[in-house]
Amino acid sequence: MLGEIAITRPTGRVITSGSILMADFLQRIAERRDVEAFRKLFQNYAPRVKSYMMRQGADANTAEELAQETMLTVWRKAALYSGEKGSATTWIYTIARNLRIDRLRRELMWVALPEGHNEEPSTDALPDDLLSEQQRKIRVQQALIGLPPDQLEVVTLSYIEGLSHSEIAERLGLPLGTVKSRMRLAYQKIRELVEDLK
Amino acid sequence: MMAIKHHPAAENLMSCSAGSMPDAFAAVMASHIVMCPQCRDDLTFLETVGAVLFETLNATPVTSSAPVLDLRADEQYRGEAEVSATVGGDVPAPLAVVIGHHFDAVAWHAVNPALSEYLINLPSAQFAVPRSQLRLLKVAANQSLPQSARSGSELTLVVRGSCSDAAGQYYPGDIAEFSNASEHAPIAGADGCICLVATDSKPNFSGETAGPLQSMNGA
Repeated sequence: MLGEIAITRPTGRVITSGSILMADFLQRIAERRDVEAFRKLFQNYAPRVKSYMMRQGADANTAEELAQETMLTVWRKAALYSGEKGSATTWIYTIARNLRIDRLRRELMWVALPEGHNEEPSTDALPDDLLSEQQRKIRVQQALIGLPPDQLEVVTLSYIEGLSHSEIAERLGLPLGTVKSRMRLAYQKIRELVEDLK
Repeated sequence: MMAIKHHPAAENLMSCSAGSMPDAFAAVMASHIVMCPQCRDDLTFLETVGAVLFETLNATPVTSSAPVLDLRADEQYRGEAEVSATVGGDVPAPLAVVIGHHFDAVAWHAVNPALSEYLINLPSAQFAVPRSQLRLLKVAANQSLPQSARSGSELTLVVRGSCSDAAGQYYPGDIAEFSNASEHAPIAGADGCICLVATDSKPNFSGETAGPLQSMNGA
């Protein structure tokens, strides 16, 4: 079933996400300011945004505040979400990530970039070549599951723990060059698997 | 502007999309991204990677409930600023937030007749761990770019003029990851060169130390 994807992560956990349902909630907020839809989104995403912020180093209170603020931003900016352009989860994740860069890292220059900085996608991709975001996400999930553990590890430390290349090197006791090449290999594998779809 | 030919390495795009780069490196990436539609596409792709990993997180119970929304105040964002490379000057938009819009108005510090430097004090510096440094280097025509004698990462964006090394020519918008071990220092073009350089430790660019600047007049 397309709307329900269950994958088993290397950690053994099973994840379910009703992506299409969530996208529909977002559309309802955008079109009708639907408070009930917002509550549903909040229940689904706020606890995970809180986890994300805590993994990135925020204490529980700060993480809770940032989760609240992420969801308020979702409410305010719902009109900017376009179901054709991306999944609800990817859109909300990007908002949470940007808020974290702003609040936990105070990176003025990054924050100066508009959200969804891909407003003008390259024109050489014809509509037929464009994967549906849903297909792409499934492929990325598969690619991540298929990565060798040492590659998945550096990617996870980067995205979830918020560690830089040199911090990852220090954490794992590896040369900087090894961290970089593992990440590069991971990127190539994910990219290849997704390109296969075209 | 010429088409951008030199892009950041995959591991830098990945860290950038994760929001996990030291601030100076993120600043170089942000300045490149506003000029480079290809890398904007790449980052969009990589956000899916972040989102998939984000979905695997366990939920942490949220003690407060959904915020009470003021239904009367229907203040929705309808649009956002377009991505624009520069606004009313020659400095890339994200960088202009920190140093102003014109490279010529920057308070350059002359290191020697062929090299000026401007250390950029990032507002995030006091929060940033690990430390990184961001600076502008202005190199006179046909002179070598200083090479830092240290290990660690370095990320360079050409913002004005041009330079070249064994790997090719770099024009505004091009990213260069000059290898410290490189035998031949990159050399500024006929119009000189201004680069934005991020380093993850204090580089040895200063004229007093042995190494990089000795090669300025051709070793």
